[in-house]
Amino acid sequence: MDNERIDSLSMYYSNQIMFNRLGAGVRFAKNGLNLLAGVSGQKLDIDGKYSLDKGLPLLADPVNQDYMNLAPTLNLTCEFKNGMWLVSNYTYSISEPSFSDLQPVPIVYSITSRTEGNPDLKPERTHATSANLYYQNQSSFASFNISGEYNYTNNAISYNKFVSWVDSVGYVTTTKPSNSSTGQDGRFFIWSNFPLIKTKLTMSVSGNYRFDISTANVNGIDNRTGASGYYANTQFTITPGQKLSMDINGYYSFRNVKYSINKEQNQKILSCGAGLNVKWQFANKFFLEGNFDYSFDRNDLYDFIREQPILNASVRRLLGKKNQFQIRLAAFDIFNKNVYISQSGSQNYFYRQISPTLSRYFMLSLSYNIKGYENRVKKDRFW
Amino acid sequence: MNSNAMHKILLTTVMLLLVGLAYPQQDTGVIRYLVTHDWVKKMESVDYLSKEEKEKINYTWGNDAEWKEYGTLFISGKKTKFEDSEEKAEAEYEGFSWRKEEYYIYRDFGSNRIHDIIKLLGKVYIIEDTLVPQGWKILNDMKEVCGHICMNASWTDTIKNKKVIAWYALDIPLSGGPDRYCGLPGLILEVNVNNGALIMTADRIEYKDPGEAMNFPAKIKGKHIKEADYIAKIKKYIADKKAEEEPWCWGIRY
Repeated sequence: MDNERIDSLSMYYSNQIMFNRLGAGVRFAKNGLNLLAGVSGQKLDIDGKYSLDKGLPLLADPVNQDYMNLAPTLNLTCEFKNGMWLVSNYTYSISEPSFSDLQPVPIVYSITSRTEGNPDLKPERTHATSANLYYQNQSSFASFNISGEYNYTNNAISYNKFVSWVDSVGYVTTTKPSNSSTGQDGRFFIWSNFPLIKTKLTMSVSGNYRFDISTANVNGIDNRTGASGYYANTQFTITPGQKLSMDINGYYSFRNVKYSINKEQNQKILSCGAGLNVKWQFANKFFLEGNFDYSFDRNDLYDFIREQPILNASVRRLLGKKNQFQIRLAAFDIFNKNVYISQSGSQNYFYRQISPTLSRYFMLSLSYNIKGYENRVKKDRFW
Repeated sequence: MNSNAMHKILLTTVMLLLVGLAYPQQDTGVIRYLVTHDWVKKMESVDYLSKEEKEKINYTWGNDAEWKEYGTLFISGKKTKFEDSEEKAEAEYEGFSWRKEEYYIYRDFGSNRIHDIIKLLGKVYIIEDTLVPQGWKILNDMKEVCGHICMNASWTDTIKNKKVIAWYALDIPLSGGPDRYCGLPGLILEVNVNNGALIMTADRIEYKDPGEAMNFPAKIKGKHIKEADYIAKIKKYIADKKAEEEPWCWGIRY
């Protein structure tokens, strides 16, 4: 079978896309206020031909789609007197379907799974808005940011599933893209960083809320999936001097996934944790560094509960007059608990991955730096 | 005073007399300075970074570290006023507007007074005090800047850890200069801080009456302080930033 072509699984295709765009914009800029408004006309021509091999008759009617659109854009950037910045955007974008979604010839992955293209697909049209407000107080070293974005998509492309029973094969799934009615998603972020004791103790807080509403079809029935969730994080950074640096942090994350046609698959995903990072120069040229992270994951639908305490630690010593050598003994995942966990849901699927990953190991290393290592604990700053 | 210093003073005096005879004295004018910042070279003056880290910054960013803007010095009699210019020095910033920061440096060499309006760390201060120029050391190199023969002088700023070389025009006997630099026998036409970290060089001199541009800006409110208070605020900020291991030159002027 090596290097032999399998005609039943092969196809020769030629795809061409022509993108033309002409636009104009006006800009107003005065004393920190910048406003830009523009509009462009864009023309998309897509041509695709599919045959068994080069020069052979076409397998299906060629794809020939022309899309003509007007796309406005607005941008506001404003620098306020007190050091605050506001940046806001609106764009209307038109995304053409991909060739793989348009091609009229099915792709067979296995006898139980195949994908069909849809040559009648229309472009997705998205109204995207965003705003970002940022403030920094140079005197107190405090900073604050709040931002959000919202996208509303017409003709959103979703991947419909047709599941059927075939004797002697089992369930066969056919996936076909189509334009669902609408899709919506939004995100809202906030973070702040401020010293409790200037140059010694800093607190950071951050959080976000996000939602995603999408529609996909399963065996002719529309399923509307709503996923929403939030995340919050707090961190204290302690830097009493050049010998010691510590971070203490905690986070809480919750995600709720709801399906309209198969409510028993609704699920709530919880994840939270806390951590401690330490860098300590306990003697001249000797450093102890370590981090402990505890995480907790729960998904009631699968009776899934997992606690992971992860401890990494290392001790290192600088050697030589110019500290050009470094010997380090490091232990990773001392409790041997590391597992990769990922869970998410959208459209008509839920994705959940729990897999073993690199866990406990030890490493003794000797490093050489031609310019020498620094004999102190550095703050992790941007220079 | 040693013989070398005497020699320099004599040489400077003779040069000033000669060029004073050759050029008419100007007591009004508008001078545009091209201000070139090099943030990689500015990082050289922070002392919490090792030599290796500074070299690494230089290797990584050294070829893309400059940005340019304009400043304007207005001259009217024995008074000068320096401020940032809204004119863009780099084409890529055309069409974008930053808020003009409150930074107006007034010098009255007749009454020996300063009246500065400076936004520092988010607050506007009005500094009114006696003029105390930098303690310049006159050197004896010469070069031409914007059509004028200039001589150089040096001054070391121990607060901001910077070495300043100023080039003053021998034929414009006014003690003013760009930013807060002044106190030389001629108008300062170029300032080079820390070997190119910041260069302010005159690129256009117009002998005209600045008119209303010399006026104090209207509707600016600020806290009245003395020069010593201003210096103390800068010192504290630099000390805090040093402890935080962050560059001070992002927050205040270099």
